[in-house]
Amino acid sequence: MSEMTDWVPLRWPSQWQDPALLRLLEQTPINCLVIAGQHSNLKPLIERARARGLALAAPEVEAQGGLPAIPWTTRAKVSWTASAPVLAISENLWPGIPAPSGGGADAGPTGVPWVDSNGWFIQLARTRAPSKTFWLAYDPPPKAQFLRAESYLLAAADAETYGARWVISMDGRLRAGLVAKDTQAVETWKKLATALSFFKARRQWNQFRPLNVMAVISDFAGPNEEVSHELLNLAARRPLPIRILEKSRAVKATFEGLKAIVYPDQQPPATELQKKLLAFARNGGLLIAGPKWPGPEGAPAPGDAYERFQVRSVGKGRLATSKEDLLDPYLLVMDSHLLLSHRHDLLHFFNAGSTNSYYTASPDGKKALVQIVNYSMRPAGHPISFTTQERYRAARMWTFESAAPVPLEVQAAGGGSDVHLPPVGVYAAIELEK
Amino acid sequence: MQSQITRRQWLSGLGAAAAGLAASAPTAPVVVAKCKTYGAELLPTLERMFDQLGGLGRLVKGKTVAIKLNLTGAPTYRMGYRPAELAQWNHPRSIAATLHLLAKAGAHRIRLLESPWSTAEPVEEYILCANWDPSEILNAAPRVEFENTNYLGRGKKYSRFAVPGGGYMFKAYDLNHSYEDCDVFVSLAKLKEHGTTGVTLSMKNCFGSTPCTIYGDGAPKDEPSRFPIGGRGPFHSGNRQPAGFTENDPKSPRQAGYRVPRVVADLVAARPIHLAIIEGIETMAGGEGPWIRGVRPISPGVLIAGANCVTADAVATAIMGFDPMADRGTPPFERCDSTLRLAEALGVGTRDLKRIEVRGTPIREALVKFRA
Repeated sequence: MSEMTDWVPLRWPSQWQDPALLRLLEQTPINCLVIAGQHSNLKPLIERARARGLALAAPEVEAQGGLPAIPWTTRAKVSWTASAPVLAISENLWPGIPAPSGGGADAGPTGVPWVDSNGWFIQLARTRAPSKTFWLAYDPPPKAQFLRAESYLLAAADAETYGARWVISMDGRLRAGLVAKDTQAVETWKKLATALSFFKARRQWNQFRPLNVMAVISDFAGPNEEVSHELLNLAARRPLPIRILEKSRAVKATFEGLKAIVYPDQQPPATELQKKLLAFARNGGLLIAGPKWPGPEGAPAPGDAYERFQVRSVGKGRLATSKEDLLDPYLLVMDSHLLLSHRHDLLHFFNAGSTNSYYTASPDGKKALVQIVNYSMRPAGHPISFTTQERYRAARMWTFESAAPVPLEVQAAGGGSDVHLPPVGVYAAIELEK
Repeated sequence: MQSQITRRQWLSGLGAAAAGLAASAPTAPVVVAKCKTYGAELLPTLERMFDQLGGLGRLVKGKTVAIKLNLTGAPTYRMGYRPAELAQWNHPRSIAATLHLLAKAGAHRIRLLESPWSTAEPVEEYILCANWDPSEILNAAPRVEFENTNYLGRGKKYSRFAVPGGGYMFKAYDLNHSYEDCDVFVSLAKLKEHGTTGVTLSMKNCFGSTPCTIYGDGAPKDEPSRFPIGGRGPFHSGNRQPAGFTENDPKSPRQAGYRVPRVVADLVAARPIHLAIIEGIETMAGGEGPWIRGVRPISPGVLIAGANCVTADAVATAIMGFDPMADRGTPPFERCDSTLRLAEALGVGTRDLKRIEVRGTPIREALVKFRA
C-alpha cells in the first residue's frame, strides 16, 4: 500500500455495494476509498478492496469499524498543528462560474466573471501547515442538471494545480451511468482518470515555489479572517500572485524578492515584526497597513494622489497607511495593486478572463511553470496569451488531452517574453525554460 | 426597425430645419497620407500632413491641448495574439509622434485623456497592463500628463457642455474638467468599423469622453458615483436614465443603433473637435474590438487628419470602402443611423465628399475595402 500522502481518494458511493464495481478503479490512479457513515453492508467490498491493495479511510468524525480515520473538518476548524500527515477539509466550493438565477454569468467587481475556486485557500493551507497533504472535499452541486466531463476535470484541476487532492465525488447521474456502463459516463470517468494520472505523474510540480512580488502578512483568523481571506481570493482574480506569510512566523520569514507587503490585520504587529516591516520599507519596499499602524514615520510622499491611503517616504521605500479601517477587501486589493503598480506584474494575461493561474519556479530556478485553470471549461473566443516580465527562450504546453507537450511560440516582448497558447479547455500547464 | 421611430423622433433627426443646416454645414480640408508602418516614416508623414492643413502652430502655440485617445475595452483583450495597438487601440508611437509635433509647434501643455474601462486607475497603470511603457509617451514632449476622464479625476466638479439647439438625446452632458480646461481639443482615433455605429472614427471616439460615474450602469440615480462601474448601458439601451439627467424624449427608441449615434452627434456639437486625427496603419475590420465576433486584422497603411471631425470622418469612411452619404439600412449603417448624417444636420460639418477638399493622397489611392 502506498504512503498516505500519495493516496488519491474517492468518496465511495454508499449505493455501490457490489465488489465488482471495483473494476472501475482499474487503470486509474485512484488508490484510496473513503467510506463514510455506516458500512456494515459494504463488508465484502471492503475485503475485496483490501485484497487489491487499496487504501481505505473514513472521515474522522464518522470513523467506524476499524477504518483508518482522516482528520476531516470544516475550513474554520482545521487543526493546523495536528499530527496526521493528511488533513481533509470540507465546506469548499464546487469550482466553476456560478450561474445566477437570471441566467448568464455573474460579473464580479473585477469586471471579469466571478469564479468559484478553492485555489487561494489551498495556498493558505499549505502555508499554514507546509508538511501536510490536503484533501479538499466538494460535491457536485445538487441542483446541477447535467455535469459534463469537463466539470469533473475542473474539480480535479482546481485542487491539484495548487498542490491538494480533490476527494472525488460523483453526482447521481455519473454514479448510475457507470453502473450501467453508459458510454458517456464511462467516457467521463476515463477523462477524469487521465487528468488524475496527469497530476500524479507530476507531483514534483508541488515542490515548485510560487513566484510573486507582494506578500500578505496576517494571522488569517478571528476578526482578521474575513478581510484576509477575501483579499487572497480577489488577488487571484486580478491576477496578483501573493506570497502568504503567517504573522506568527513572519519575523523569521525571508522577504527576498518582495516589492510590497500588505499587513491587513486590525491590530498593529508586535514590536519585532513592526521593526522588520519598517526595515523592509526603508530598504526600498512598499508597506501597506491599516490606520492603526503605530506612529507612522516619514514625510508625505511626493505626488501622493491615493484617495484612500496616506503615503509616506520611509528611507528608500514607502509606507502607505489607509485613512480608514481596512474593511473592504475589494478596495484593499485594488489599492494595493495600484500602490505597487502594474509595472511590477510578473505576468500579463490576455483573453484569459475566465481563468486563474499559478506561476511557480523549479527549485533550481531554471524552469518556470504557469498553470492555467479555465473555469468556463471551454476555449475563449480569442486564444490566450501572456507576457512574462522575465525572458524565457522556450515554452511548451501540457494538457490532459495530449500525451506529449506542444511547443509554443515565444516572442521577445520588452525585457520579457510573449507566449502564445493554442485554445485551452479546462487546464493547461506551460513549462518555461530560461 | 425604423417603424419604431416616431414622427417626432424622425423630425428631431431629419427635420426640415436640420436639412437646411446640413446643406450649409461647414467644410474643411482633409489630408490623407499613406504610411505603411509605425517606424521611421511615421513622424515625417504626420508632420507633412499637419503642414498641409496649414500648420499646427497657429492652432496650438502657447495653448493647452487635450487629446482624446482611443483605448477602448479592457487592456487584457487581444484580437488573436495581436497587441491592442495593432488592432483596437491607438499605437503608442502615433501618440508619441503627435505629442512631439504638438510640442514642436509650441503647445504649452498636453493632456492625454481616456476613460478606461470601468476603473478610476490612472491611465498610466491601465496601459501598463497592455505592456505599454507610459514613460515612452510622457517623455515624447514636455508637460505631458494623462487623465482618467471616466470620473471626476483631478477636477473639483464636472464641466457641463450644452448641445447647441437642445441636442438629440440630452440638452447637455457633464464631462471631466479636462474637456473644458483646454484651448484645443484633438480626437486621436483609430480607423475601425463599429458594431453599434457602423464606423468609429474621430467622432465616435468622443463617446468615451463620458464618465461612467454619471452615464454608467453602476451610477446612482441622482448624483455621480465616486468611481466608475461598468459600461454605458444608459446610452446604449436606455435601460435607465443617467445620474441626475433625463433624456429629451424618455420615450425614444431603446435601440443602441438609434441612441448611440445621436449621443455622439450631440457630444461633438457640444464639445467641438479642433483637430481630428485618424490612425489606420494597422487596425481591425469587422468591429471595434476583439469582443465583436468575426473581426480580423487589416493593414490600410493610411493616416487621415482634418480640422473638422465630420469631413475627416467622411473621408475616412470613404477610404474604408463605404459611402459617407449612406444611412440606416446601407453598409456600414445596416442597423444604425449614420452619425455623419446626424452631426451634419447639427451643423457640425458636411459629409458630402463633393464639398470636401482632400489634400495629399487621393481617396481612390488610399482605398482599403473593410468588407470584401
